[in-house]
Amino acid sequence: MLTIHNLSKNFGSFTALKDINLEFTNGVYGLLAPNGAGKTTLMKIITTLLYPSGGEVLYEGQDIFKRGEDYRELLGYLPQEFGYYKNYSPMQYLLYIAALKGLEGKVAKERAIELLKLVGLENVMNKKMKKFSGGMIQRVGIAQAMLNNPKILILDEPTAGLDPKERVRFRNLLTDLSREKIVILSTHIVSDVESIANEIIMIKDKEILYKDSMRNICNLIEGMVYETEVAFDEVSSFKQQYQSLSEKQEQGKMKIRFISKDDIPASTWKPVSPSLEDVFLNIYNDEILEGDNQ
Amino acid sequence: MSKDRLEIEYPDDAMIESQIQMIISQGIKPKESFYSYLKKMYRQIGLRHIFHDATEIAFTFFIAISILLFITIGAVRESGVADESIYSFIFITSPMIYLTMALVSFVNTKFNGTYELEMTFKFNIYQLAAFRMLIFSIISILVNTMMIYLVAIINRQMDFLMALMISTTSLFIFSIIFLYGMMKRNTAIKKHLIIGGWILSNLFLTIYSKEFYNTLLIHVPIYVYLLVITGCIYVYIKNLKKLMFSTDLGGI
Repeated sequence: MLTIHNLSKNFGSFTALKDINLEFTNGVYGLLAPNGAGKTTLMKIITTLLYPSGGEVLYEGQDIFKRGEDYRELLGYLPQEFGYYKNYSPMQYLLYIAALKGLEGKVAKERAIELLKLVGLENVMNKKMKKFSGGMIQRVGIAQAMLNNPKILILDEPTAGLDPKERVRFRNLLTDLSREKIVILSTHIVSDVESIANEIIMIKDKEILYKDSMRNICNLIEGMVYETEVAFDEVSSFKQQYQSLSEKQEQGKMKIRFISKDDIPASTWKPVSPSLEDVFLNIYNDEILEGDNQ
Repeated sequence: MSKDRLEIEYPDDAMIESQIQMIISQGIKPKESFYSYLKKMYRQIGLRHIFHDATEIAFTFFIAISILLFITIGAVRESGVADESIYSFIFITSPMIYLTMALVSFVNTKFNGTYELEMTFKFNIYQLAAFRMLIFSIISILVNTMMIYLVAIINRQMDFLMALMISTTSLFIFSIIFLYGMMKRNTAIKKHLIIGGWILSNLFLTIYSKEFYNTLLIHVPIYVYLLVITGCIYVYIKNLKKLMFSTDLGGI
């Protein structure tokens, strides 16, 4: 079990995280928050790249920083910006990484081939990576993170740079690979975690806001999400009254999905089941608006 | 009402002792020595991966050697037989081969953006760096010795042993400073200043107090050099050990 106790991280006078308490057992955890909320900082602390300013991170009751290489041996990490040697082939790079992860030569080669097949790079395993697309590089990144069959798999924005088809492929891949592991996946793209995460963690104002199953999180706004059609000239006043979640033009009118806390909904409103994206937009409404204005 | 009491036989002393030993051996990991850790790295990673950028290192190494050789021959010819400034020249340039080789891998890692990833592996960048730096110092001593030998052939007035002592002392003093700069979480500018400071401070001494500087280098007895070298090697290995085993060097 991976436990985080009263963790805080400051960069000078700026507080990135405060009073974080979390527990992870085997399963997929989706760390969901807008950009700049502190996801990467938390990931970097769990991977021992950053020291916490306060609190501790324990794996099986022992401080991860004191465990040193014993802990790193259990770790698989895909950073947000995955660096690689351009003149290496995926095979060469994976064998190099496998050596640094302490894998024996023969085992490393078998595992590298197995993973490259799994991520669909078996045909280019000996080609130099400098000619690879962003999606292909990201797949090499996913393969390297899995090399040592890690107990803790940390993926920081793993779908960045992937096209929709590759995203689906990645999700299926992760479901296959994540058995008997702690998988922590950070993202600001709701659909990435919607189908695969057992639990969703949301960070707001540098603190953990929710850590719960998707269903429970969606229940937070159960009975408050509606869809309705509004005439174009009324859209502006409608949006001032209710928080719009999504809009699309349909048959000369605007179809709006929105949140209303009114006890008695209008007869033209159609109640709908809330999605994780609705909760996300509801929680981070201010931050998203700020981001849009910048 | 009588209770059935579970009787557990008390273990004898030998059994207690063996159980204690088992708990200790499983619970406390024995401390690895520097040498055994190097051996473990060599066995588990292999030289091919420890020096994965061997081509780049070799390329830079030969360029550095060519430049140094060119400057050295020029300096020997310029200074003439009687001039003792060859010793200060040796003192300044001896760590250059070491510096070149050590910098290649860091620049490579930084340039390719693999630093963050490689810090999370079982054998991380610092452990690899400690292994490599040890090998680089050995290569540097060998190359410097050969270069000094070559200079001694051209300039027969030069004392080979004295030059070798000066060169090795300089190499290890610089290596300690370089390691210190790497281990302290300094900014990039501070790190560059540490490296550049070596050349600048020595050049300053050569220009403004050439006589004093040369006299200092020449008149230090051999046994003092040997003492300084021994002390430096001790501190250097101690710092390499720290670099290899410390859990307090992370942080980006």
